[in-house]
Amino acid sequence: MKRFLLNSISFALPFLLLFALIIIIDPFGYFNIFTAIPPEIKKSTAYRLNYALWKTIEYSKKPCANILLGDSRMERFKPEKIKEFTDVEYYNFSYGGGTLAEACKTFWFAAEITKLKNVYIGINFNLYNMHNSGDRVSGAMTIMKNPLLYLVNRDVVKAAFMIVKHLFSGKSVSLEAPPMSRARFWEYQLNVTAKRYYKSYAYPTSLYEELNKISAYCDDKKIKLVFLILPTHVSLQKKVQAFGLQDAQQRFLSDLQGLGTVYDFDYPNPFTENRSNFNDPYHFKPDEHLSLFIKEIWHGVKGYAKVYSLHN
Amino acid sequence: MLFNSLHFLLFFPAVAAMYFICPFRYRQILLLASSYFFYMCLNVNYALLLVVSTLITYLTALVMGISKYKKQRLYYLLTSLILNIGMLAAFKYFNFINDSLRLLCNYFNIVYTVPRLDILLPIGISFYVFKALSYSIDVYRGTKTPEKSLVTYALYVSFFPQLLAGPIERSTHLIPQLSRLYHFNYNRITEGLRLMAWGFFKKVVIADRLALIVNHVYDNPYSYEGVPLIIATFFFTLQIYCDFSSYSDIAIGALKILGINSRLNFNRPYFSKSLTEFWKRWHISLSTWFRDYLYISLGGNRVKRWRWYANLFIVFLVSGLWHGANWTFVLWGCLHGIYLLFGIWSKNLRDKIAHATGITKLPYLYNFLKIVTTFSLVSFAWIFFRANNVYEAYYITTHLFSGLGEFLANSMDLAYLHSILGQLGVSRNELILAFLFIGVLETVQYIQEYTNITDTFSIQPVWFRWTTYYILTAMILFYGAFNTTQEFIYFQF
Repeated sequence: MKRFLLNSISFALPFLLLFALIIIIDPFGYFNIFTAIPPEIKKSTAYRLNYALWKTIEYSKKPCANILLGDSRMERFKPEKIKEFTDVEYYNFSYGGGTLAEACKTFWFAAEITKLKNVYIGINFNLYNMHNSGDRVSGAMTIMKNPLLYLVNRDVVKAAFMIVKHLFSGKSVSLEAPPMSRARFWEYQLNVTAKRYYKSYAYPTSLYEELNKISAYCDDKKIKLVFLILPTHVSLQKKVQAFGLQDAQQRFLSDLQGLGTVYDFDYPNPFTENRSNFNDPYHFKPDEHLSLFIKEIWHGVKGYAKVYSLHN
Repeated sequence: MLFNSLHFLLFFPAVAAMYFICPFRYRQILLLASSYFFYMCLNVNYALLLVVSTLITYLTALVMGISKYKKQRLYYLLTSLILNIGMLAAFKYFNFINDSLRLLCNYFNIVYTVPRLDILLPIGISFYVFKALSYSIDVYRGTKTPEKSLVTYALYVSFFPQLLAGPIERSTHLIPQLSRLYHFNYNRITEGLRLMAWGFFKKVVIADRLALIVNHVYDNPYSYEGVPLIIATFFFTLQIYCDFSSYSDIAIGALKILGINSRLNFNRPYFSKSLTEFWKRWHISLSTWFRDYLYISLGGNRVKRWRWYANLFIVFLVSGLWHGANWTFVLWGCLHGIYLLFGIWSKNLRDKIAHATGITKLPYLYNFLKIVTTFSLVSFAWIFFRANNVYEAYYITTHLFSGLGEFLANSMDLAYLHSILGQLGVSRNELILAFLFIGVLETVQYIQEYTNITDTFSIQPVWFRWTTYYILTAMILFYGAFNTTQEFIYFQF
């Protein structure tokens, strides 16, 4: 039995050391026991590896009653910029490459830990698809409930090693995708990414039901629920027709109109027709145009948005 | 308590440590108490049924043992069978039969008012009832003397490694082992741990990873056609094998640590060259149970030809029903029955075709084709097993090959491929990992087919063995799909 115990301890030792290293580095700030690693180093590494886990941990430490949900388009709404115009604190709970399923799960997570007041969900037609249902949020939420899962999460382990590498080499580790010219990337987004979204479209029955539950909950709890359909370039808007999805898009609009206030920027207008307003067909340039959208959405300034309100 | 839970990882070492420290005369009591604790962690009320089944079977077997008249013995056997099967029928099949009758009555416009029973299916009931039935029949047939100790018999029925999903161990094999003294044995324990680790790998790394894709597609099948349905079905074929065989591996490994040898329950079934062979390799403890207690009781093959066919078909029909109270399971069982009968009827013709085409001269190719055909037939049948209802199973089987031409024509278009594979609900990396781990599984199984991997492994140098242990443990820890912990599929049966 002695041999067995000694071998068991020797076998477990490397794993225990690794777990100790993760607890000390704590790339996502889960335990917050040791403060040796500056938070900016952690964020520059861990955040890009797992947006959902980073934001879930960050939000749970400092919950906010006003949240923004959605994908990379919605992520452009910097809370400090909104505060500048409205004097209200917001937490941006959007994820790059986010899906509607993730937004819904994030909503329930936030609603569980705080009393919400304002919820803005960025949702474009390409997200309103049964097959666009990736989910990184469930994993993050399971980790929130079980610290052991944090210790064995691949993103956490990877981030810990990258931080160690950064500390020894002094160079931050790049997680950026290989460079691609703007023109080529534009074409890629238009022809390849759009095809991924629209080629196999299916009406998202379960996601609509989930949105319905969120709408009813907000109605019951007097939470302001707003849907934002952010602008995309007209060349991308035309893809909806090219794939024969006009009826599905119409249904998407009418579904949202039945659930809450909708700000629709995504239709042919002088803004969406001007290619220089966009980095690529999906993303407007935030530095130049974010204020414009904030004024329209939060201050009621008339502009490009078609506004549909439940109470109209 | 799930095997793949933190609770079990604390529970089992604690029980094993106490077992070896505990004086021999108290060991059975310790294991019995641990087994009931294990079961009651799921639901305290479930234990009551287990107690009832145990007492009925124990007492009827005792009186059967002292009875001198065959008729009396038969009476006691029937009492045990009726009560045990009645319990199973009430908890597992009542609502199924009731719902089916209601549908039938509605169809013929007949008023039917029997309400549904609001009861939960006790986990593992099919397994422990089958253990109890085999014990009663063995005592009746005289192949087993009645067990005098209630503790030993209760432990046989409720022993925690096998309680929830088998293997359905025979009393003649397990009960004598329960009464023996086992000392701490380093080699036996490491062998048991290796088996458990391999089981955990199959469960959390492969089965639970594949479950994400399978559940995504099968829970909403009408949104899919063609390739995603084929991939999900292929993955389910491997998921159910990894899920169920991993439970057996963990159970057999745990038993080995405690000194008890259990029989093999899965013998690389997807390497079978025929359906008959598949059923000799898949869930062996259940297949042999049906052979010994149902098929032989019906007359086996020592009857007229048509009766033999009927016997085979009945066994598969009952096997389907055993797996679940749903028409999908009945259809799954019937389909396997049809496969087997067709296999028997067409054997001569298939042999003639094989000889005529000359493929028998190429044994590797011939065997490979047989394996692929068997695998495809088994996979097709799994559709009925996994589908939520008969309508969805029908949809899946009729849309399995839709758009396959378009897929093949566009298979070089990466955006198109991405749009199709993107429907599976997981990232590209997850999909690559899934295929990678399937590759690892198949490689190990292929090696196992030709050599005893346990013996070969144990004579390797220490550095090799420890490296393998580290890799396996790291895979389980860092590549296990822990985020959505899945129950073992066979728990529902």
